[in-house]
Amino acid sequence: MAAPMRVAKRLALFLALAGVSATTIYPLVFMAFTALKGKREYLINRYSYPHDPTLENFASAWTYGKVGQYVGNSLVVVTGGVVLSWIVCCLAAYALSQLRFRGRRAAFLGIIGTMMIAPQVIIIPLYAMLGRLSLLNHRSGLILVYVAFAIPFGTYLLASFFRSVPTELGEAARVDGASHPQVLWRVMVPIARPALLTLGIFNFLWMWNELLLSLLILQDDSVRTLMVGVANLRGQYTTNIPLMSAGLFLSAVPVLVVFFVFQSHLQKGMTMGAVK
Amino acid sequence: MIRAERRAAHVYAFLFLAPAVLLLLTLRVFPAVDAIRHAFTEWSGVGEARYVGFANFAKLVEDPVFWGAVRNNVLLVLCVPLWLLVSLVLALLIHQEVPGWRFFRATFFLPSVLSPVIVGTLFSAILRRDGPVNKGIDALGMGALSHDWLGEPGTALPTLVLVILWGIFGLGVIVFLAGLAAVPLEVFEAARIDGATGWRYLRHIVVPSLRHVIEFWAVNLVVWSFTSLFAFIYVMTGGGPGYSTMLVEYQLYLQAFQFDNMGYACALGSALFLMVFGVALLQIRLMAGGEED
Amino acid sequence: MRPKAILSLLPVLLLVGCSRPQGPATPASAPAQTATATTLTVWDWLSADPSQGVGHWLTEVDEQFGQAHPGVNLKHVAQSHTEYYEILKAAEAAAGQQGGPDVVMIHQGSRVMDHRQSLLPLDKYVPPELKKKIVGWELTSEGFSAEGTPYAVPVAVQGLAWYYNRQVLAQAGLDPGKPPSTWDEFLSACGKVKAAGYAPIAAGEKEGDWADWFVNSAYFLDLSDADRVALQSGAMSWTDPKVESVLRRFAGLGERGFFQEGFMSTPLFPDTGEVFMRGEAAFILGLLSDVAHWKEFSEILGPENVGVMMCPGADRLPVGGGFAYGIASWSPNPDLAFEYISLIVSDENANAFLAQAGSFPANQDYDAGQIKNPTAKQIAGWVAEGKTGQPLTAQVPTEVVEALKRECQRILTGQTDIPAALAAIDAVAKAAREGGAE
Repeated sequence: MAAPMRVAKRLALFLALAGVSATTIYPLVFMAFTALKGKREYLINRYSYPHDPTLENFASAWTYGKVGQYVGNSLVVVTGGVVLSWIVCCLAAYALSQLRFRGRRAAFLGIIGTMMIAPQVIIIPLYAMLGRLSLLNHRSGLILVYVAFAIPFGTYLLASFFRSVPTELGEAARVDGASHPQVLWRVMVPIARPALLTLGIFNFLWMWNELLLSLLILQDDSVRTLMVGVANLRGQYTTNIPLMSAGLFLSAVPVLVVFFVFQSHLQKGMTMGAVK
Repeated sequence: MIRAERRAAHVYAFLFLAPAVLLLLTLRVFPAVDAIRHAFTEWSGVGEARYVGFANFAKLVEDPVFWGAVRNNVLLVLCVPLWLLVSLVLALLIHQEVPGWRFFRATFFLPSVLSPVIVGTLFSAILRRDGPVNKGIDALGMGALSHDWLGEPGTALPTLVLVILWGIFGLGVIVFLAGLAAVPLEVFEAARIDGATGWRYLRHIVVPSLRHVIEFWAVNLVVWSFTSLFAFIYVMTGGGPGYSTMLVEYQLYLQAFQFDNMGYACALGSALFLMVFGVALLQIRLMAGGEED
Repeated sequence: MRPKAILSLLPVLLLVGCSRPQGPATPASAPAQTATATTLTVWDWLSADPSQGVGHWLTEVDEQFGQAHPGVNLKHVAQSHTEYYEILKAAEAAAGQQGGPDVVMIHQGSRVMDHRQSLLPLDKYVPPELKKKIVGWELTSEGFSAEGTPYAVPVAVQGLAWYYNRQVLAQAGLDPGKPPSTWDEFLSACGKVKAAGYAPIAAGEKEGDWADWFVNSAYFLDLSDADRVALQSGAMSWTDPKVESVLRRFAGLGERGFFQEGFMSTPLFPDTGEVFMRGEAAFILGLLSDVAHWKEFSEILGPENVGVMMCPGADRLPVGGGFAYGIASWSPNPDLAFEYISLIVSDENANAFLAQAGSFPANQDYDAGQIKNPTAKQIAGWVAEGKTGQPLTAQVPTEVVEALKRECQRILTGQTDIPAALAAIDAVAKAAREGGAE
């Protein structure tokens, strides 16, 4: 390909990508602008930048949304959920992809199958079940529910990755005398690190933003999570949009932090040294 | 030797699957069975449940709202390839480290950070008749193209598809990037040496290497389109205008929690489950193409 | 940052987090759940809302209760409004295990009836003086009659009224002191407003609720009270010409383009009110209490510019659907629960409710002299004179109202015509009657 063509092509690609980025950034900027506007200003100046910025919405969101109090609970629940999901899904994915046993296909389909149960239908029986297990109003109860919801997706994701790993690796380790747990921990997990990180980020995300189950299961004010606090900023009739935007902004910060910290590791995979 | 190997495999399979299976049984399967049981009853969600046999299912078959919702769900499934392709192409571009790729990777992910409630609220505001999008269209001189995007039956569903695309394409990019990271670099090297570019590159090099990941993400998107769009619909259209963006999942919610027809809602849920399972199974079969287990 | 380091921290966090006791953190904050301490749990959807005086008002009531009952641990749980009934359902399913509510807030109307299996009948609790003071019992009692067994105590009076912007009327060449009093006058007035460059009516059909509001405020022109009862019981079909007449009025507004641009995707709250408050519209169908009402409009437009009227051609205001408080049937402390409710509807608190929230209390013994706003005075007068009627859809099952809302949306977007819409609604009403016979 001639050089000018290549440059033009790369430029076009760059512009296209930049365009996409613009669409992803703009709404967040819009949300930030809105959060900085007082109620009156939002009424008259809805869409452009704030002429009269104020931090009162963030302060109100912190107080009324009880952000300080709820953030701790969210952290506990989400961290617990993410870590436990990793463990449970890794084990299950290893079994489903590396071990040959009767009923493997059925087990795989069964686990994936549970993903297709719409949450709305099982909410009521689930709540009653948790009541029977004395897990209501306990963060550990919510953690277990989150993990149960995370299993199908996580197992599927990890199993897919494990499956694309050449079987020679695992077999070689077994020949060397490694037990299955050792193979999992020493061979598979390091290779699947990008997948594990991806899964971790996914789970962190949806668990952090999850509202309905948290609202249902954690009634006590002392254990409530952040999204619940933010949801309560929505009144029966009025949504003070600037206030809401400030609350939503605050709730998005931790996830952003997590992502920015870990994102660079997503891409650097293992090199093929291991294969040959 | 082989015996011991097989035994080890079975023992560890049991041990490793136990935690997952236990959690799933207690917290998802048993409640689901309970729900299916209630599909054969007339129940408000509280108190007595009256057994009515297949009455709910008969009602389902004749329910125009249900079939309208099914139609919309099917249309959504047909849009899954679009969602998939956008993520795949963008992931490839980032993988090739186009200038600014780090920045792009970060910004593409931003929408996924936001909960669907936020996404829905933001776009409801932005897509208003007097909102920035239409203002932008007017400014470009294409005034005839400005619409009440979420308020017109003809544009509501397509707009929804695009907003959802916006909300999730970043996740797909991350998934595909992780997949690409696991592909040995030599594969790409060899392709470059052979001069493979563009479409052929995609079809013959990328897709085969990423086959499991693509299948995973495709199935995930399809299932997700049937079971997890609730928040988007709720915030942006409520299933309207009229019934133009009604989905089975949303109808389920209305019947269960607004109309107190829990029995009927469970019947809807059972139908939904069967639909999803069927479609996903079909999809897996097609994509696996009769390959290894 | 080294991910490995962070990853190793996570299990520690997890252990720390899960090992902490899940209940109240310190002994000083609340007594432990022993057999001797009494806990009263109150649920509502308004107390966490910082944008309204109601939240503040409820806090004061809680303080009063705390002073009167020092040994009781009052747990006031603020639920999110949008998910409220899902959560209530879940609590009902668990029937009071582990900290279910004792006192629940609930909407007057079909909601109370839907949940009455979980509510304590209050006939033994409500003293006759209270019964006389409070309005709204028909919407919280068995059989929708004030004589029936009450299941909840009405706290607020809510209803619909048409407000108008006097300045905009003047701009359109209309007399700001004499709003339209018949339907035809209304149509002609709207035409003049439109010609003057304003939106005649500020409306929001995004959720479809505006149509419901309109029907509730305009049905008086075509249906009598007996008709309303007949429609609700099924004796009158939704395809009846009288009902069709109401819908024709509704469709007529749309056909003439009397709504502001983009109204199909405008939410009812807060955007519709904002259109009116920005002075862009002449008329708005608003509420009597809480928001989108006289207080809010007067604050922005000035009390002298805001006027209120019944639906042109009607002689009554639709009143009903405000919130009420009920007692859960599984509550171990029903007496205490009722004392809490009594406190809420007491005379002083009724006055405070009006003063702080700008809302009309159900307890009619409030100090009417408090009301300074002329529009509010007019409304209070109407309520006192009994110029009110039940909303048409107050006793109609939610499923049917939903069908009505969606069909009306489809009428406005041209996807269906009125006869087909009414037939669809009637089908849903029939099915609801057959299925729900309890």
